[in-house]
Amino acid sequence: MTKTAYKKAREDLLVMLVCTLLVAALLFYVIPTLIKVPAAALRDDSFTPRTFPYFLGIVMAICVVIGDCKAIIAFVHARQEAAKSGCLREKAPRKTLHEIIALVMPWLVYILVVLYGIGINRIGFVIPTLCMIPAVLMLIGCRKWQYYLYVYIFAAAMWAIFRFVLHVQLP
Amino acid sequence: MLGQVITEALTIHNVLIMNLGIALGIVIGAMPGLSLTFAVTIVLTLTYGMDSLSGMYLLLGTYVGGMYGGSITAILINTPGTSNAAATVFDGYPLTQQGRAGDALRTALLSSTIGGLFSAFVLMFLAPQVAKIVLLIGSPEYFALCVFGMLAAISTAGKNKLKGLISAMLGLLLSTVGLDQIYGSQRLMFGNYRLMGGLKVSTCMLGAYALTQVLFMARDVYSQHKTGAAQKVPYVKSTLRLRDLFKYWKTLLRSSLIGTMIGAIPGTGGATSAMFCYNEARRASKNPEEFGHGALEGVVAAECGNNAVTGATLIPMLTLGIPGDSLTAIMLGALTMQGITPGSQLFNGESIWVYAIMGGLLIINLFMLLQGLLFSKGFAQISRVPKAVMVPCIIAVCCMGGFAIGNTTFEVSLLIAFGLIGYLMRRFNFPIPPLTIGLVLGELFETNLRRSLVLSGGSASIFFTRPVCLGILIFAFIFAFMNEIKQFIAFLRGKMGKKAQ
Repeated sequence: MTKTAYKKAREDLLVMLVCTLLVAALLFYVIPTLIKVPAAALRDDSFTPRTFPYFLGIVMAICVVIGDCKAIIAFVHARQEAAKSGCLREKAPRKTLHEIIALVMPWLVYILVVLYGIGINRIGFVIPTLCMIPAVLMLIGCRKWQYYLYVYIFAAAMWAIFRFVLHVQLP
Repeated sequence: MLGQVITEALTIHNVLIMNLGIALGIVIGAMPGLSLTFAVTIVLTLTYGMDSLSGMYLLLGTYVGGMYGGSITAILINTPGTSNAAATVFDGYPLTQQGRAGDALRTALLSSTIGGLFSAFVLMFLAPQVAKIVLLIGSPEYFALCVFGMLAAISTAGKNKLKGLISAMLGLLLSTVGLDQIYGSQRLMFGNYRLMGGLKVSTCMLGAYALTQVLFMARDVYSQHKTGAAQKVPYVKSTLRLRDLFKYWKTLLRSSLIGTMIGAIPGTGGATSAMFCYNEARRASKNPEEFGHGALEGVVAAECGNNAVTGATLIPMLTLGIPGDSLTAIMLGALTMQGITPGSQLFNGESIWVYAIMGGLLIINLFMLLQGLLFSKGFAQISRVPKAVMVPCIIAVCCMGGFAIGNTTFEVSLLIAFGLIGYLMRRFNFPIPPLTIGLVLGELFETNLRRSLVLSGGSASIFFTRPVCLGILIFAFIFAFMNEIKQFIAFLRGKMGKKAQ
């Protein structure tokens, strides 16, 4: 058993615990607050607007409880094995800046996408697209100017297709 | 009717749309790292200004073209463009190493076409018969079929079935967003009136598949920048003749049959079919030792097998409205957006729409052959398109497409939100197909559950007292949990064995 397996088991446990919290929030807060049951449904019907979401919530709850149990067992097992092999005391090699940036890259790009979305909402497609393209390309480490040009041409072509062929009035 | 179908399908506009779809499918399919689901999702954004028939032709063209496109990079650079071409690598790449890349590509093209045509014929003859049977079933049976569809989607999660189940439940839950069908009360709308009509499946899929793909791709591009070098494409012209291929007519027939059967079962797909056909071909071959070392028969089996699912997967989608996999779920989402409800009513003879779709699939396969023969050298260069260029392009297309879906920037926000959901799910090994299939099936699932419970006065026994319904449910559970059942039986046998000792 390696430290990687131990880390994986720990991550799985954390994920399942977060899922448990989310399912609890769904069952005890989201469904009761966001689904109102009309009086007529309460009086006459066994299948109210809440029935199906509750059914799904309960199935999810069963799943996450099973998942929690499995994750706890796997974590305890992995921890014991890792402790036995002594790899828990080993110091992990320090990550280089390049590796750290690679790890957070999806989040950085996602932030740009969110900003792009806000831009589209406020000022339309053209200016945010003009800004998004170099921002994304620079972020992912692209230095070739030709690539910037290709993407601008592609984006312009797509804009034209949506605007004039598909008749979508992009803002 | 045949004349009507031909006139409807073969208009200049539709022929162009079909060819555009095929070209886009081959191009995207040939790019390593981009899945077929991604291809269909991206192309979906272009269908909103179109009528339903043209939109479906575009999607089907992409589906069929993408299935073949994946084999190009599998053969030339040992990297399957899509998972469906994974089995093609085994013999395709060794053929390239022997200097027979052209032969391998032509074999893949011809086999794909034969498999696709066979499947389209089966769809044409089988779908109307299935539609007649569908008319005889009631809500409990329909509910059982929905359960089958869901379980089939979950079964694709492999070892992550529990996560698959959570993902499917989340999909079903998200399908309840909007106004309740009977009482009109708001459900999970967070006070946002734009959600009254529910979540638009296409927007959700665009976010969950395409935007998520971009996030992972950005990481890969950044990581590989210092090491990555563009690969040369070793294209060599083909000397293969058609009669060389028909030496393997038994393999072609067998793979077409297996592929079609596998395709009709929800939860399977081109990758499973190709692998199954490849193994069967090796088992039945007189020279099994040649497999894996550049046997044309291996390419024939894999490619014929994966394209043979294309028509068959449409059988449950068109007749029952139940998608068998994420690809048909996207197509179903597109149909729903166009106001078309799949089901037996499509086959009642009043409209030729469904027959035009089935006929169109045949024509699409023939156009794929034509494009492959004419432009195979060009398609072979596609794998050289830098991923860095693709990242901002896909983001821009996603947002434009998201806007086009609902003509509102709210859809763009929803798309971005689903991009995050998809990313987190993929990052933590929650399969996405059950989520999307749950989203598509949700309404049908709840409606039939509600109707069945009304019929039975609120008792769930209705699902266990009707033989057909019970049969479908039992089959669905066995199908989905086959591996677990096998493990359990082996475990019991092991215990019995120990006791006997």
